[in-house]
Amino acid sequence: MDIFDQRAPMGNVEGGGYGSSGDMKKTQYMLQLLGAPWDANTLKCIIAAAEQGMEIHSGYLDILNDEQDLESYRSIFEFGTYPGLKEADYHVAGATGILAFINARGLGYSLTPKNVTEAATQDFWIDVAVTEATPHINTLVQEQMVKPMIDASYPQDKSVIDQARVNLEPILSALDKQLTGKPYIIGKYSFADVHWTALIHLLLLTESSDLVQQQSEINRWYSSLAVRKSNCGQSIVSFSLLPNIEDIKQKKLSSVKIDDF
Amino acid sequence: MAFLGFGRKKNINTQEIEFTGISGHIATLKCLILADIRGVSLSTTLASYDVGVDQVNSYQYLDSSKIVPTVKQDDFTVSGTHAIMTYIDIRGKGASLTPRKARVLGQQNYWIDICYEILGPVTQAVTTGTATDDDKKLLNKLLTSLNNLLGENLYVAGPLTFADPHIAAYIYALGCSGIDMALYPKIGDWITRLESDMGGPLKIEYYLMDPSQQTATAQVA
Repeated sequence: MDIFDQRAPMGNVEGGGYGSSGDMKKTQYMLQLLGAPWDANTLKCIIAAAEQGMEIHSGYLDILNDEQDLESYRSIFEFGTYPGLKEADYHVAGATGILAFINARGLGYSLTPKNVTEAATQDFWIDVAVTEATPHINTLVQEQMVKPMIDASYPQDKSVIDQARVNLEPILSALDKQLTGKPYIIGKYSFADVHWTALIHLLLLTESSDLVQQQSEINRWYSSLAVRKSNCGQSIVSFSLLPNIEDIKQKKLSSVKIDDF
Repeated sequence: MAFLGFGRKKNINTQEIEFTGISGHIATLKCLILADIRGVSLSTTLASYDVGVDQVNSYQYLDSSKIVPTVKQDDFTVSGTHAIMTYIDIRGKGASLTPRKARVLGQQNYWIDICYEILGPVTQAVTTGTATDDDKKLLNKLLTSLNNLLGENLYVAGPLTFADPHIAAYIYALGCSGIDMALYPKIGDWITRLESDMGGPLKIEYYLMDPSQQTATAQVA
């Protein structure tokens, strides 16, 4: 039994559970994910799995206590990168690898556009999310949510928070402008939306949610995701799997369960 | 009577692809390596940047509005390594470097993630002369792992993929920064294979690394 089976067990799937028997069709692969509910990269993987109709059993990896450095994890992922994904005898770590894997395995149309300019524009907005927004949102998540959660007496570092807020404002304004007149970031739903959904969701859970609330187009886009059915056509809303504050306090990650396979 | 090319898309782009980067910049180099592999001609401008080169992220600001690397063709402009590599790949000759198999895709992107999370920061430290003993140990571990992998695979993820130009850029930079790559012979063999795919050694002016340069601070849009 490896760390995936310990933390994200498949459970008893006898009796006709998803992928438990019969011919292993494309819809029937079962995945195990290890990550943390306040980690945007983990949430991106859950969103993508729901969008593409891939069932995932999720488990908590205690990155606050460096569990990514445990021998049981490092024996699978040499460099300790996370989140980690397992499918039978295959393992891959990091959101970029997991998202591509799920996209190729999944049911829906590819989340990467075929049109060259749309594909490049998608990648640019993913880059903005990863390169520019993520460090500041991570700062706010750590200072305003995770550290106080661990230690109620934790004194937030106001100067660090203020700087992160100042740095984020123009990035969010640029995203707001990009969304103007479009249902999704590049027009159609793509990986750019997956990346930004995870980031904006976490930001809204912090005390800096006002940064999002003052951006009307981001609000409109985010609200539309709350009722958007998945890309794969199954009756699952990926947004509904994102953690709330209580989930985060309980270190609870949603699994993706496909009922109408 | 003329026949339209069956199954071919009409090439509506009339202008050459203009590419702007900076010397000694790994993000810039990744795009140039891919363009060579994919046989895409770029009209390249490489600026020198005296504030510092960011070897960690996939783009950096030269001023409040100018980002490198950037490509422009007709009325389309896009910045950042990922977007540019996607653009160049689709504009290239023959089959895309994007693997069709899910597991190969996952491995390709796993190594691209390793580039940004580990190889980039370590290379930044080495090329600026600020590497600690831990940095050097981590780099050796990573290069050893890569060397072993390339003893089994012709390319990083099996077939030639985006992971190859990504990692090759760091290898070029490290080789120019005093790291003894002879310790990792399979990496050297792989670079030779890549250069064969590119039609010869990298044809760009490269690579004036100044150890006094500091990490450039990313500016916001």
